[in-house]
Amino acid sequence: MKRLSIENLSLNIKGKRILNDINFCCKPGELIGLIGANGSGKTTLIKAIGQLISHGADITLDKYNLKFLNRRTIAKKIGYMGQNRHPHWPITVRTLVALGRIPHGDPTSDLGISMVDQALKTCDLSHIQSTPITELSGGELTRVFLARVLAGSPELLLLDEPLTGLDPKYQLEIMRILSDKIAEGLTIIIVLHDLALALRFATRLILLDRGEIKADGKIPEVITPKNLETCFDISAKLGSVDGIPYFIPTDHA
Amino acid sequence: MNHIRYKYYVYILGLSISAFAGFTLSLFIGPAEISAQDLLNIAAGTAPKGIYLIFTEIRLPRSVLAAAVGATLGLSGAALQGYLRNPLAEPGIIGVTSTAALFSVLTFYTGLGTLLALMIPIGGIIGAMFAVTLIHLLAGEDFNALTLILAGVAITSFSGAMLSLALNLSPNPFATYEVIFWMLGSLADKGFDQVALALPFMIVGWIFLFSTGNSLDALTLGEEEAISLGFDLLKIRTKIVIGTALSVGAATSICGAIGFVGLVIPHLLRPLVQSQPKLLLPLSALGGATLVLFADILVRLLPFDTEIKLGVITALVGAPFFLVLLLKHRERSL
Repeated sequence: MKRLSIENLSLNIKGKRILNDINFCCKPGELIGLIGANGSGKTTLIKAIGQLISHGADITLDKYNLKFLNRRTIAKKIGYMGQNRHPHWPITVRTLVALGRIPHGDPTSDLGISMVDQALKTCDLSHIQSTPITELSGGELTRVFLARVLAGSPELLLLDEPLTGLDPKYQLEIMRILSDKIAEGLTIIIVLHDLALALRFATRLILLDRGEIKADGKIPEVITPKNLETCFDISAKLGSVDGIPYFIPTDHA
Repeated sequence: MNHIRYKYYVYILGLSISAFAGFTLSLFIGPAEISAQDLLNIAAGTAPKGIYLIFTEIRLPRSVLAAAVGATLGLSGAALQGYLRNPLAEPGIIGVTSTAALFSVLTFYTGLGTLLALMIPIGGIIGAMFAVTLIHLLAGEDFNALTLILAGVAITSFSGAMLSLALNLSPNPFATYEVIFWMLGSLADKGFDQVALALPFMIVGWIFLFSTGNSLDALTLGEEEAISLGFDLLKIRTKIVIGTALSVGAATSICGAIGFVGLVIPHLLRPLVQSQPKLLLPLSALGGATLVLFADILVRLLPFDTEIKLGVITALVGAPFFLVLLLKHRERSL
């Protein structure tokens, strides 16, 4: 069963080719790690899938071509968390999470309130729901933003580097929440720079290189010495301890 | 959750009562004394003609205008701040009021206003629309405080220069004198014909501004996130431009420049709604109406031979307030 299908997605920005002929499909319950060096087109791809950048390609989500859906319907189906996590007003945690219900038009209805409660609980934020977001740590703020997209009960979650700037404890926490969510059937595409976390939590990896998909599949098919050398210009030691994979970049290739 | 909503309704009720109190008090205060008994007589149609005229031709339109102009300034301030995501945005500071004033004066100047009274508010509306669009283009996409204020200064200076030029070239010194006093901002000597000219535009403007509530909440997260929540940025911008232009343009064309209400009121009321832009809109409209009603009462009570203009009072209070806000903003940016 297909959830998302992307066909022939190419994109130029200011005359420069950023994405070139991207094709892939995802199933419900997949946690896809989108990896690649800086400037490889990961953020652009995430935005293009979320219809935040206009393009002519056919992207279908649960048989609906996103081209023909209005913005609000897309917002109900796709949760997007960008890299900018600096809200402009010191609203409370709860108010921010409730924004996720806006596309459904029910932030103050019983259903909306219970979805917000659930998202707060999932992300362990119930105890600070009345706190202004300006008083939160980076880790808490990321969880608030994640709760915001979860509150919208999307079918597809697009996360652009959600772990940047977080200490290892918070990184693991976020990844555990996401692992729980895919068990419920959600599809998640997450841009990751930390390859060790990608190895541990992603069910599938897509490696982008200069706007093209270099490799797509299970971890051993994607994280190969050749791909690491070509795309990241590094060598690495890979292994596992107690079933937990590790990844140590060793040097330039 | 419920207690937060309950508290919000209490604030709405409290501000409605204070606006209503200001409105009622405003009917009684002025050089001629009107008592509660007179009001009853007016209602019964048995009041002396003098009292009846003072009430219907002077006091009532003045109070209605004070409430409407105050609501316009408070609401547009809150909406602009939410849209530009900047607590320093205000129709006066970003040049909307001065450009609306310039265009209103131009309608006087060209004789269009005399030809058709409706052209005066329309001139103000076109001016305001021009200014909001310009501020958007000048301030760029990030709307940071510095570029916003600089863009406001540029627009205000240009409108001021054009106004000075118009006054300078005016062949009629009395008209010049009248325009200068009008520019200071006042609700005195306004009748129902002027209320009828401006109020419909203001109400339509309010509807546009109130309709932006959810989108302003979404914009708290930035433009990209607002799009991902299903909003169309162009639609939001259009609503803000049209709403501000209609309400502030019409208000300014009738009452001149009454500054800082849109800055002070949202700032004071924001903590009550934990900074949520949507909830701030109705509170700011009621707060603005209350402030202008009471300020206009103060103007009538001050013991000067010449009535101090309302715009002068709001500027005297608002300018230091603006400075304090600016300093706070600077501290936060350091």
